[in-house]
Amino acid sequence: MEKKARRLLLVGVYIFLGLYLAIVLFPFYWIFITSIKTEKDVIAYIPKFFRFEATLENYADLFQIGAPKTTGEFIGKTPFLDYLLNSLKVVPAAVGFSLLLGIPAAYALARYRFPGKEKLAFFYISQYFLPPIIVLLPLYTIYQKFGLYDTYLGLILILQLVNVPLTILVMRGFFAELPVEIEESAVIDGCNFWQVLTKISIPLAAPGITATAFLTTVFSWNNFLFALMLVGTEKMPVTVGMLSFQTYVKVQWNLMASAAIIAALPPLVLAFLFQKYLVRGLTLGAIK
Amino acid sequence: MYKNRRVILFFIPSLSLFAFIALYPFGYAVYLSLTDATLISPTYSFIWFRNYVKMFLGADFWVYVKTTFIYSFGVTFIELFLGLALALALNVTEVRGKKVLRSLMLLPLMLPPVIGTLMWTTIYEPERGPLNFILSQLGLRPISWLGRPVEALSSVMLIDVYLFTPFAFIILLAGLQGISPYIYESAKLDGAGSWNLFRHISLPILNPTLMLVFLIRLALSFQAFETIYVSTRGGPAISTMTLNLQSYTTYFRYYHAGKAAAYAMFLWIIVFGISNIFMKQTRRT
Repeated sequence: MEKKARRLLLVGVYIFLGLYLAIVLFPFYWIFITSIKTEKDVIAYIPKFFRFEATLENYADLFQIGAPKTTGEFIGKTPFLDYLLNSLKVVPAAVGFSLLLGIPAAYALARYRFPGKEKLAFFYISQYFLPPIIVLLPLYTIYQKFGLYDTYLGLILILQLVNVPLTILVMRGFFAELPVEIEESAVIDGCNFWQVLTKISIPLAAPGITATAFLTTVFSWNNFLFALMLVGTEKMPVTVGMLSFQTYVKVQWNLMASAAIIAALPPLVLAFLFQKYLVRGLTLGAIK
Repeated sequence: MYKNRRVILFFIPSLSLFAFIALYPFGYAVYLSLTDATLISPTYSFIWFRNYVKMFLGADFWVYVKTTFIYSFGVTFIELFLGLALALALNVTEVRGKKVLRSLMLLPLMLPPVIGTLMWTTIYEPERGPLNFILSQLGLRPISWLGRPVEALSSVMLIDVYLFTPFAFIILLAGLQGISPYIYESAKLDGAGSWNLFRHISLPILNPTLMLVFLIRLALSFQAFETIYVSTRGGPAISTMTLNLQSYTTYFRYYHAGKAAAYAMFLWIIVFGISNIFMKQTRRT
């Protein structure tokens, strides 16, 4: 009896997981096949799920390789490659900068005792939760005054609003897990403070740094609102730039789909490579 | 724990940046909300709380508030329950291919929300989209997914659920896996069934984690942006307009900086309240 109930439960579990997985994967499948359909098939009145003529012409047009094969107002003038390069330049810089700013603060929060410590931690971490629009509205004019509007530097700076708290959240947990005794014995062996930090603590926290760098890369790459409000047409990252295929008149679905595939690849590939760190980083960030 | 007065040096680089990107603009926003500043005219005057009074007296404002609350509480509860159900399902001993399943289930969380929303917008397409086609094949009437008020709000919320359920799932799964199997073993020896194991062991142990996931998702879904901006821009009419999007729209479409700041302030206070509860909760656990 018990065994039969268990088997029934298992069947139920598989059906539930299978249904959920189908819902998770279908949008990926749909956008992918849209990106390799001809324009004619994309706008076909009866949507084609399996049988269509596969082509790479949308990708060629997106990067302006060869003569345009699809039609529409964007053909021949899509700066998609520029958007992509903007993201590829800004994201690593923003990640490096947040490690530089966040690691010392995380270390101090994990290792030192001082008055107002929890208040300070709250200040940093609350920046991750609070709606950024409150600072983005004034920054729109402040950035213009300081010449930061529509610049790489401006985007890198504002990304720290989320990246630094995330770095502190995750790294503080990692540092706290390192036994203090290792540092203390290094001091006894004659290391000065700086040597302890750079030769002992930071190398030991390397997995934490990988997890943090991975999470901040994904967050920076996926970010939309900061760039939408503080970047104009010049330095637009790919997440904002791809919306240019959506106008009030019509949406250029085939080009948008291929742009979506390209823009989604970096975080998805990273997630597969660093899955272990993803789970560790997210749970540390959320639980500790 | 070390003690050293120079510990402040660790914070100076990040704090000086935050003074510029967080504190100064925040103060500026408070001031802005007390003026009638616009993006068009360089002159403006200080009008005390008139923006707030007008906001609270406006009928539309309470619609935005209602929509914001329905959206964030709605998606948070659904994501929490669905995430818990998925975590429990994946935690069943006999289920095979757990690693692959987990990787695939995490995909939407890694996706830029803009792209996830675009994907669903193509699926929701009323005439040529796959969803209505499937409905028609089943003999059902097509649905105007994003074109009518009630449907639009539910469809947009579904996009949020799609994107962020994996967040609840992954954290709750880690919480479940952290429970020692010995506890279950001894309870089983005492004759506890699956439901009792869940109700009296997993759930109480998981309770603080559930609370944290709830608060994080609540705080973040109060400021959801891409899911709405990319799919409906707040429409049809104002049926999917939330406080966050209304603040953005007031600023960038109507150029009313003062009013936009007042909307943003109101939203900020709500989320600030939630994050205070969050911090108290984390200190307790």
